[in-house]
Amino acid sequence: MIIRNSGPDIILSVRDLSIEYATDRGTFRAVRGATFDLHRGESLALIGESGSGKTTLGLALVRLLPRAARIAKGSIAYYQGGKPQDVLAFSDQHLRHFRWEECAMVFQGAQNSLNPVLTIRSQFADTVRAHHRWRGREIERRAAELLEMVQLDPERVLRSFPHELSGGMRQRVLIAMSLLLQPEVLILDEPTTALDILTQRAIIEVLRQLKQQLHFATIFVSHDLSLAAELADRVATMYAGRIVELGPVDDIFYRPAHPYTAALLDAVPTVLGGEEQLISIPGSPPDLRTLPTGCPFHPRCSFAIDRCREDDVPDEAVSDRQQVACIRWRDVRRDRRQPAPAKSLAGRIAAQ
Amino acid sequence: MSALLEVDHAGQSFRTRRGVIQALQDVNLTIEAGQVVCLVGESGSGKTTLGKMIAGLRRPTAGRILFEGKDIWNESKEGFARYRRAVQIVHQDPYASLNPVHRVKDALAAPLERHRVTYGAGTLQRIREILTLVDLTPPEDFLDKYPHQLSGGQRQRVSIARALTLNPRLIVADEAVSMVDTSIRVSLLNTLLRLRDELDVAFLFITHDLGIAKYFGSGGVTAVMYLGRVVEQALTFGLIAQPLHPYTRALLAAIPEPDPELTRQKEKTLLRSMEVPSLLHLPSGCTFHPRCPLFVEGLCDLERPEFLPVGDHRAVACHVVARQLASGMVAIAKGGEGP
Repeated sequence: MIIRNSGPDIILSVRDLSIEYATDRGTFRAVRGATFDLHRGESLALIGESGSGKTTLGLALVRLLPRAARIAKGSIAYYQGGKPQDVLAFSDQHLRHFRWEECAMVFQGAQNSLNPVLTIRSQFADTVRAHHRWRGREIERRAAELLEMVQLDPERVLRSFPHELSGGMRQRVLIAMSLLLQPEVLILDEPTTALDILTQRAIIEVLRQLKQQLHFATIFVSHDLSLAAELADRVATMYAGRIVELGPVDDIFYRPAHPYTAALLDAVPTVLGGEEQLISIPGSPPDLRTLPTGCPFHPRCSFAIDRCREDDVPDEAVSDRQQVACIRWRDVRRDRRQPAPAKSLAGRIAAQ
Repeated sequence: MSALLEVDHAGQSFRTRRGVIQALQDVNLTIEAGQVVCLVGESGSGKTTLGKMIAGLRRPTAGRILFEGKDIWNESKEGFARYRRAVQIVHQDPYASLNPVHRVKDALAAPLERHRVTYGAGTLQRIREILTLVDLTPPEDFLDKYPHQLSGGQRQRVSIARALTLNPRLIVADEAVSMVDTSIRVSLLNTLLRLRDELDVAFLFITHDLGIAKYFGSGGVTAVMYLGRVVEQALTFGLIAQPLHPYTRALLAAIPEPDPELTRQKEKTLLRSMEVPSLLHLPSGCTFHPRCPLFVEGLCDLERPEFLPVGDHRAVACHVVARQLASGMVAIAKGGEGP
C-alpha cells in the first residue's frame, strides 16, 4: 500500500501532542510533541520500551488518561465524513459514543479485565446496551458472528465465565467485543504480551484476518519489535516520550534512520535468521524527570556529536514516507538486509 | 567422571483440592561443568519446576537429582549444604527477589558471612570484586544503594552478583532477562556469557524465547518441554535448523520474528487444536496427540513415545518421527553445530 502524508483517507490526526504527569516529585512530560496521521484501514505500531510514553499516547487518543495526567498542548483530530472533529473538545456524551463506536481500545493485560462474575454473553450485552437499543437476538447474532471470526465457538464461549477460558481465549473475546460496534479505529496495548508463543501466533493470525474482513485501522502499542514486523504497515519508534522515527515497516526494519531504532534492531535476536552478533546499547533509558539536554538519546548514542548534546532535534524528512528526529540520520541510514543465510535456514524448515 | 548435575527419571506431582497435578514426569537431563543448557517451553510446561528442583528448592516426588554423582537428597547435612552453595538460582523478577530495605552491600554480605566465606573487611573487598564482575562499576557507586535506586537491569545484576557470592558451579537462570527492556537485555546476556567463560560456571537457562536461547546457548544444548516432559533435546543450533518433534516445529513456526521478510516466509502452524490440556487430566499416550499434526490413531493416543536417542546429543519423543528416522524418510542433517 502506498502511504501518503496527507489525503482524504486520514482517520486520525495527532499534532504536537504533549502530555504531563503531576507526581509527588514534580511534573514531568511523558509524551513530547507527538505528531502522526493514521489512515483508514492502516495498521500503525508504536514501539518503545518502558517509560517511552507509548501507552500514555495510546490512552490519550481515546481520552482515557489517568487523573494525574494532563494534555499540555497539541491536538487530536478524528475525521468523520471527511471533516475533522476535535477529540479534545468532545463532551462526555460525545466521548462515550466516540470510544466504542468510532475508536475502541483493548488494554494491556486485558485478559484480566473481564468481569469475573458475569458470563461473556452478559458482558457483550452490557457493551451494546450502553450504546444501542438492539434486541437480545440481534446482540446474540452479532456477538456470535464476531466470536466465529476470532475462531472461538460462540455456543461454548457465550455461556462461559471468564475463568473458564484460557488467557488467549479471553484476549480474543475482548478483541471480538471491541469490534462489536464496528469502530473505525482499534487501539491494542501489548495485545500479545504475557501470552504463550502458540497463543501469540493465533492472536496475530486473528488480527490479520479481521483487518482484511472489516477494514478498520489499528494502532498497536508494544515493546515487541516482532509484533510490528508481523502486523504493521508503518512503525513509529518512541524514546523518552518522543516519536523519534516514523516510516513504512520495511524502511524501519531495513533502512532505519534513527540510531535508537538501528540499535534496537541490533539488540534483538531472530530465531531463524542464522547466527547473529547482537550489539548492546550502553546505559539505560533516561529518567523523564531529568532528561539530558539536546537529543535525549545522545548519552547512549554512538553517532552523537557536540550539537546533539546542545540543540533540540527537529523532525527531518528522510523520504516522503519516512521521518526522523536525528541530525545525523544520513550517516546512520544503511541497508541492513542480509538475504542469503537468513532465507536458507527458514527455507530449510519450511521445505521439510 | 560423573556429570556436574544429573536429573534421573525425576518427577514432581502436587496435590491440590481438584486432584493430583503431574507437573513433571520422567525427566532426564545432564549438565556438564561449564555447559549451557537451555530449557524452553510454554507456561505450564514445567520448566520453572524443573529449575527449582535442580536448585534444590523442591524435592522430586520421583527419581533422583545427582550432583557430582551423589544423590543430593540422600546426602549428609554438610554434603547438601555444599550442593546448595554450588547451585544458585536467579529469578525472573528483580523487583520481587531483592529485599527493598537492604542495601546492595547488605544483600551481598549476608550469604558471604552466613556461609563463613569472608569476614569484616574481607567481605567488603569480595563484594567489590563481585560487583565489578557483573559490570556494576565503579562498585563504590552501588554499595550503599537500595533496590529502588537502581534500574531494572542494575537490579538484575545485583541478583546475579548475589548468586555469584558463593562461587557456584551452576547457575539456574529462570527467565532472568525476560523482564528487562530490550535495549539493556543484550548487555546483561553478554555479562552472563563472560561469567561462564571466566568462571567456568554452568548455566541452566530457562526461557520462553527461542531467539534468546539461540544467542545464549549457541554452543550448548536446548531441551524443549511440553506438559511436564522433555519432548526433544539437541544441540541448540541443530534444534533450530532441524526441529524433529512436531511441537518444536510448531513453536519455531509460530515465533514472531523481528524481521518482516523472515516473518512473511514462515509456514503456517497447523495444529489440530489450540487448546492446552489441563495438567489434571493429561491426554493418554503422547500428551501432544490431541494437537499434533502428525497424529496417528491407535498409536499416539494409546502408547507413550519413548525419549529416543537419535544422534549426537539428540533425542526425541515421537512415534511418527521415530518411524520416519528408522525408515530413512528423514535423516538428521550433519553439522548441527553451526550454519
